[in-house]
Amino acid sequence: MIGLLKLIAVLLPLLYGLAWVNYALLFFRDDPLSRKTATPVLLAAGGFHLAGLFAESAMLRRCPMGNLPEVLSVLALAVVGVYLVLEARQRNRYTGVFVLGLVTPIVIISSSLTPPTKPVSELLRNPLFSVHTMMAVLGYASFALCTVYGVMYLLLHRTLKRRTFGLVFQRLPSLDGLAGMTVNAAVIGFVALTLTMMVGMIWGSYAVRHALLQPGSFWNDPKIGLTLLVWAVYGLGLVARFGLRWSERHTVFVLVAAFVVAILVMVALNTVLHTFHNFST
Amino acid sequence: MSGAADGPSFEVRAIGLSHRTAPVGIREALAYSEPDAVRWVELAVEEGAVDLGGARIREAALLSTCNRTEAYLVLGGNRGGPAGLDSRLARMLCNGRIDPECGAFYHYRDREAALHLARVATGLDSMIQGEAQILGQVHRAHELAREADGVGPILDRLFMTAFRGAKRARSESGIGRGAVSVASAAVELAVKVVGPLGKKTALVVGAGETGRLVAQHLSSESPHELWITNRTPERGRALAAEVGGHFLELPHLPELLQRADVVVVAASAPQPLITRASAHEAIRRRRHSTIFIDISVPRNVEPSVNELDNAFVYDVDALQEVVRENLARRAGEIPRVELILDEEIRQFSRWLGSLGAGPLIAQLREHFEQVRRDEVRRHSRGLGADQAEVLERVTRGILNKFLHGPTVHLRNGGASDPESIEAVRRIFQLERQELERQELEKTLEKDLEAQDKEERL
Repeated sequence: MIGLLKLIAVLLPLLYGLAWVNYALLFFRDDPLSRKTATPVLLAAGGFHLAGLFAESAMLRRCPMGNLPEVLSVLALAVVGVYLVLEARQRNRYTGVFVLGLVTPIVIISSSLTPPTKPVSELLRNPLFSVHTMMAVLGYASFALCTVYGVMYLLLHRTLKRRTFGLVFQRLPSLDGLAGMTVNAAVIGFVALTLTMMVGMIWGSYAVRHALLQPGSFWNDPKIGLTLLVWAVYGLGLVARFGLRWSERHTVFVLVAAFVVAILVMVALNTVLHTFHNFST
Repeated sequence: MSGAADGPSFEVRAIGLSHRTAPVGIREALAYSEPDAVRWVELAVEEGAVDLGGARIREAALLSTCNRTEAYLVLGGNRGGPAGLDSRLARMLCNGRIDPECGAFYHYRDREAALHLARVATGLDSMIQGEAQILGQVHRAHELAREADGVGPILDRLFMTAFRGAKRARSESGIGRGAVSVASAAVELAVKVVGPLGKKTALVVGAGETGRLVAQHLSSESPHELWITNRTPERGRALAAEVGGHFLELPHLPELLQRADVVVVAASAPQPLITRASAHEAIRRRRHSTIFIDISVPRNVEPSVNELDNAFVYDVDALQEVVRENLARRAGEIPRVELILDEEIRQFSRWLGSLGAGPLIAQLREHFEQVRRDEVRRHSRGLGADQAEVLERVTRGILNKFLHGPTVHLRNGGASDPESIEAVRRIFQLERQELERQELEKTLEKDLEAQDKEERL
């Protein structure tokens, strides 16, 4: 089984890389072969990824979210899943190159990092915790897509303002559509993150009551404070859009900045800061 | 791509003139109305109605548009036809309307004729490459030719090939993508900024010819609301009625600007109708982008409106730039389209070749069968009935196996390739066989004549 997981770790970046090349050929050259192969290759990569996570989950007998490589891997798969749904609904595959531009490096990092050898916490085996983590993954996957669509929006906005009618003008969906997708993804992510925090609080109280956690460790955990910060920045972006009627461009700037904050928080929590959310015991 | 490998045959011909070879004066003189086109085809395929010096038109179709008049024909008779056939065909097409020797006619035969029709149907031969209207016109020409009983199996297959090629080209390449007129470029830009117009409000300022054209294009996108405003209310109301929109008088422009997602200005005014201040006032409460397309000269939307965050301003130069980019992109797609058409025409040629393969295959088989029979006769002397039957069966089996490959090759289009035909003839000495056969026939005829004379004497 370990051999299989190692094989998956090698093959996954290659498959996503191949899918990325296909989407790039589609975007830059409108290549007829890539039109036929781009989505199937990505579906194959996603399916292989999912099977690998199931195998890992079965082998470890826990949710595969115990360390940074695992978290990144699940996040990448969630982004791909949401993107494939959007691709089927919008019938626009030219945006795939941007999404895979985010996913492929995440998968490469995830596969190249050596997982910690320490055993992971028993907390990961709790079913309520699975709901908490799944909501968190959905939230961050939506934020990642929000950022990708936000960057596309900014690119197209610039192109339209400068009146250069090249590939970006030709291939990307409408500016209004990109703004809508950016804001909608942010709304989904925000709701998911809100639910993540609510379920986390319920589960935390339960864990303290049943002595799974030290009483002081819950509120003193930096991850909770920093996640609240990420939540607040996204909340600010959405309030600015819907409440203060900011322009689309300004809202998109805030939402892209919020993702930068989220990434910094994730890296800090998994490297520097001590948190009980770091599930290697 | 002739229809037969030897002797009597048929061939596909295209003859015509187009915007590439003839000025508009000649094109309009030669243009056929639909009833005239039907009559022309009926006459063309009527036996003995047209003197082509031995050749006969088996199938015919006439394509006549403002940019071209072309006839597609399937000719029967000897390959290549009689001397001066091209001139006769030109005279027939001209029908006294223009001088057939005007030098504007082009002639294509067989594969080139088929490829020409496919290129025409795809819009590669059009003034604006990739335009879609021509496909409908070719389709109509096919329908009219069918009505006139001009379409047989070959032209029918040829037109289907052209339609399939054009359809594939449009879906598998970008030859038909992107706006190629200023009015359609305005709509393309609008859709790129505000998205599909189904839930959007569009406003056209000015009801002149340009305003009318843009309003028609906008209307075809079915916007949620289409408003027209104009200095002269009568013209504005008339245009609104024509495109299914609403009219409001020009003093209401600020009010309309607040509602509109797409604003097209095609009016003439001494001062800009939309200033930065008025645009700002109109869009500051809006959460979505607004596009201002200014087709007026002098311009009617202040260029500084583009500096507002949610406003995008395009003038006629920008629209022309969109058109130029799209035309360049279409031109870049031509090699891809040529490959698609080549693939389709190759299939058509193979099919056509297979129609003419019969005589050559029969000749080939007859030659080998003769050889086999001679050899069997030579070696079966002294054999018993059973042994002779085995020899017969074995040699026939070997012969069939040997001839299977060449037969399949000829049926799959080899008979349309002159080199293949020549090679088969040379290798198997079919020419000599044929000459010997003809010689024998002549001798027989002479003998019969001599016999006849003797009897009469």
